[in-house]
Amino acid sequence: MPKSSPHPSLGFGLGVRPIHYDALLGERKGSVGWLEALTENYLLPGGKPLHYLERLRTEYPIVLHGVSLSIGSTDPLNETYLREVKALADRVEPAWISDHLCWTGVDGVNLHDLMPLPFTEPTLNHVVSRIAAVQERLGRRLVLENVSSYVNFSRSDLTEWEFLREIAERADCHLLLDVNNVYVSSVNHNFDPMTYLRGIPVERVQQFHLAGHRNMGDYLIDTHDEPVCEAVWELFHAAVERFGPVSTMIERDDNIPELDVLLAELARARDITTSAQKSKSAA
Amino acid sequence: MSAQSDAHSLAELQRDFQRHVMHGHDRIVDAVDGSAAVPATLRLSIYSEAYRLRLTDALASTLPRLQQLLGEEQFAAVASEYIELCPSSHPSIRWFGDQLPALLTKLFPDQPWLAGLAAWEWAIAAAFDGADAQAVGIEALAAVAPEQWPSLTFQFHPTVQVLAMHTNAPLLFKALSADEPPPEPVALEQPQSWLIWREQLKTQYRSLSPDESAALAVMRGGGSFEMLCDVLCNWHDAEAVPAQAAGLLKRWVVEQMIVGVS
Ligand SMILES: [Fe+2]
Repeated sequence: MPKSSPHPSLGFGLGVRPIHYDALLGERKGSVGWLEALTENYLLPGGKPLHYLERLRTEYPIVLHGVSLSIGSTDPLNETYLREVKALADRVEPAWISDHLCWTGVDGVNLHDLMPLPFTEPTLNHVVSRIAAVQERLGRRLVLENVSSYVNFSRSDLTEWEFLREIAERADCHLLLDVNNVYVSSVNHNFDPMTYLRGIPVERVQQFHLAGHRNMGDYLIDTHDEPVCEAVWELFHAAVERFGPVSTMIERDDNIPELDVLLAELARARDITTSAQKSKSAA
Repeated sequence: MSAQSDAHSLAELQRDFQRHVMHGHDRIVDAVDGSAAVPATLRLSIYSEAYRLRLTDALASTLPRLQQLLGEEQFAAVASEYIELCPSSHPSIRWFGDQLPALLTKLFPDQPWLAGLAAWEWAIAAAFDGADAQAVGIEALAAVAPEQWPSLTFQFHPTVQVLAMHTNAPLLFKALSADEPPPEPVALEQPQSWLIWREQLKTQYRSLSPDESAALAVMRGGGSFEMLCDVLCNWHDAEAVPAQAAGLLKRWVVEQMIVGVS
């Protein structure tokens, strides 16, 4: 694969959820610039989910976002899963395919959770070689997302942002920067989220996620069941100043409101992007 | 450290973490930094709790009527036992729960409708996102020359399933789905056949009479129209059989269950 810069921004999008299918194809057609579909929800023989995805893709650019790649696991790569993802991608023709920089299980188990990795040189070597294999199977460059985490391993001798930068550069892949996850982890591990942003190479960031979390007092949990909070909007402003206009979307997985509520939230992301770009060009 | 022992050490870390999440083993605790406000064990418990919650939610979303019938508390108890016994190995959480009917049979031998309802909801879900196929129209039957009829065979939509139900679980499902009070759950003396399939995007089901059930078994096995007539002779007078057979076929076509005639 030739080395390439990230995909040009698709503008402002949403994670597509079944309760919004009809609105997105009907009265709110064209209300977003693109849609992110959860890969595993469409690894199905047929029926309604694939029917709607086929219709949506005629109206919107689609990107596929997976949760079960388990790129950091020490289990062998799941070749069946990779073939299924490839087949789905051949059908849907996504602008790109993303998953998370994490592991989801070992010994054949899927915990269905985004488990944290130790940030060490051996982990880097392990993950980088797997990314190369996956990029070859899928015939495209991967986009990997930073996850929210609640533990830090004593053995980690790199920071998360150093780890992310090394992954992206050594594996020649792109990054999905989840601004909420940066914020959640910064509180849980007591680091400065601005330092994190400054540690991420600009030319590697292809997508932003925005989402809500739950404040537990002493720590935060990434829940995707609430609106984006003020601190995350501020960090998003800083991210746009640093990375420029990047495909931006809101994730909502629980307590999902009507589409118009999410569109209003997305309008705020658009306003912040405009003002961050202005303040950047003024500087 | 050699590359091999590095990989081994990452594998051990992941195994320890997974054992903590699944079974509460605490070897991983020493590998994790804690803080005064949020100690390592509390940090780790976020993962263990999220694990059970997510899988319980997945079961509830595939088996919502079972959850209604059991009530949230008892459903959660069943789910937690299931999570312990049958961890997920599927990339998609949608397939988590396939062994639940067997567990329910073991846990509730005197309430067979619970396992029945779980199996029923699982089958309904399988029809919902089962493979697509284009149904033939009624004109496909009209186009068949009379001499071809005896050897004619029919291909069924991939979502067609026939279930022999030993309880009134489908009626419990129907009432609970319609937000109506469910009938008294009962075990049946004789199993009742039910048909599940998908018509376009709509999941359908109905009960089957013994003759239609036998007819479907023959025809889904690749039987010819002649064999259909033969099997119907067990229920109907010989002179009424051709009309009965044609009537069944027409119904299956209208219900979009037939995807090929050959
Ligand atoms: Fe995210």
